[in-house]
Amino acid sequence: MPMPKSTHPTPQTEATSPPKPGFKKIDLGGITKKDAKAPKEYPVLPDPTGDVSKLVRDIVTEQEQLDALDGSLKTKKSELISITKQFFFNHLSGRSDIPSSVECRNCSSAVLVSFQNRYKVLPDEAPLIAAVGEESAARFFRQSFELKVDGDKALELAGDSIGDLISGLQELFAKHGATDALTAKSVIKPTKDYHIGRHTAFTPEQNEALERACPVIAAVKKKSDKSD
Amino acid sequence: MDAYTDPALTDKRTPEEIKWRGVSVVAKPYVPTVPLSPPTYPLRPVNGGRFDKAPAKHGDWAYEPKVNGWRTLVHTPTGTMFNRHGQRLSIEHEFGPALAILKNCPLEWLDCEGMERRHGLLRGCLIVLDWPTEKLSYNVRQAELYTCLHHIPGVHSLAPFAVPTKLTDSVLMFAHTCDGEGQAVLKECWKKLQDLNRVLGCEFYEGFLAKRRDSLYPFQLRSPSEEFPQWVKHRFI
Repeated sequence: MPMPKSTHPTPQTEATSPPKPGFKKIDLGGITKKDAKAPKEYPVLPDPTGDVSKLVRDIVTEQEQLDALDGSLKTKKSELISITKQFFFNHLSGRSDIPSSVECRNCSSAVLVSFQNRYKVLPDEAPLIAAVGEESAARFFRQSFELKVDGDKALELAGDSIGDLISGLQELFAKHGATDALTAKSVIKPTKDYHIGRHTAFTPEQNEALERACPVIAAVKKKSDKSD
Repeated sequence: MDAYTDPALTDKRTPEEIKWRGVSVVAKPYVPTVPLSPPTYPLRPVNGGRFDKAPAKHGDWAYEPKVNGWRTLVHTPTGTMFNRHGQRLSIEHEFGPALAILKNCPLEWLDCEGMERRHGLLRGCLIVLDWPTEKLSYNVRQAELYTCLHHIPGVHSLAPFAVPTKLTDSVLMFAHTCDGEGQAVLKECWKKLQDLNRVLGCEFYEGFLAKRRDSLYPFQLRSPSEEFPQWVKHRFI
């Protein structure tokens, strides 16, 4: 069956490729090559009761329905937002009593398109300056930053002097009256070796007990799912 | 955003002939920016799930076959390739002949799919999918792509149901897209692409990429994972 509609004429009839200059290679067509990216073999969960099979069927079916609905909903919401944005900026131009939402109706139901005081962040100001000029851009936008300290790396590099490093950092911020800008969060997390090592270091019962305290991040995804 | 061209290119049209709806594709000689970086991340489609499970779309959409390869933005004057994260593509050297062909293209940036490694088909080929430019709709971009590329030696059409399996190191562009002539026709195309994968013995096609015909190609450098809801991908699996 031909494709339904041609968007443009065929540019050139199919051509055979010219011979590649340079490197001559032996054809190893009949020999199976070891593919470094061959899919991994995973152990298969036994299914004596048939429950696994039913769950897999339901998860795959429902995930497919959910993906399709989710994508459709995203697309349609985006279109409605785009239409509403035009109204929002035209209707409210010159006013300062700005509602948080616009109501969109059909004969039996309605949805609200909300415009919250939340914006995506930009890597630099160039598109803002291009849109409204430098003065206006500087009036309504500012640089923001977050300094992050990799605690694991700092510990590794600073060793025993880590306490001095932390107190020095606190003193530095205090000296500039910026103590409140410095926040810290202390957590307990597994070492790099834990994920593999737990299977030899602990019994299944101990691992169950550890799971209750520090559960592994688990996900169910369809086999062959790719990111793009 | 206008695209620039090298004056020594093969396009013999005058700037006036190329001016189309106020946008000139031949503006001034290419002056490289240092360091070279893409003006945008490639547009990332929303995941629309399987096409046969998806609700009907609103508006006028074109459906391109989605090819299994490496998404890349190509800077045609220098033959530089960037991945979808805006970083230099590490396998750029494997597309030398195709990049040489694209040096004859008057459009500065092209959104392409690189065919390498994932399967044995069309090795070293670049499939031109789109022209990143902010002011033109998909329909107009596709027409302009055709105008700028079709006469360049080494550029071939890719008829979705007749994949030139022996072709290598070339530039291809789709000769057709599936259109909104009804869900039934699209579902038949959907099935046929899967049948073709079986014949080819690999996952050459991954599904459909639906693009709204009136959609622009908005530039954004905020995040490579930001989705563009006017493009929707439908995967077989």
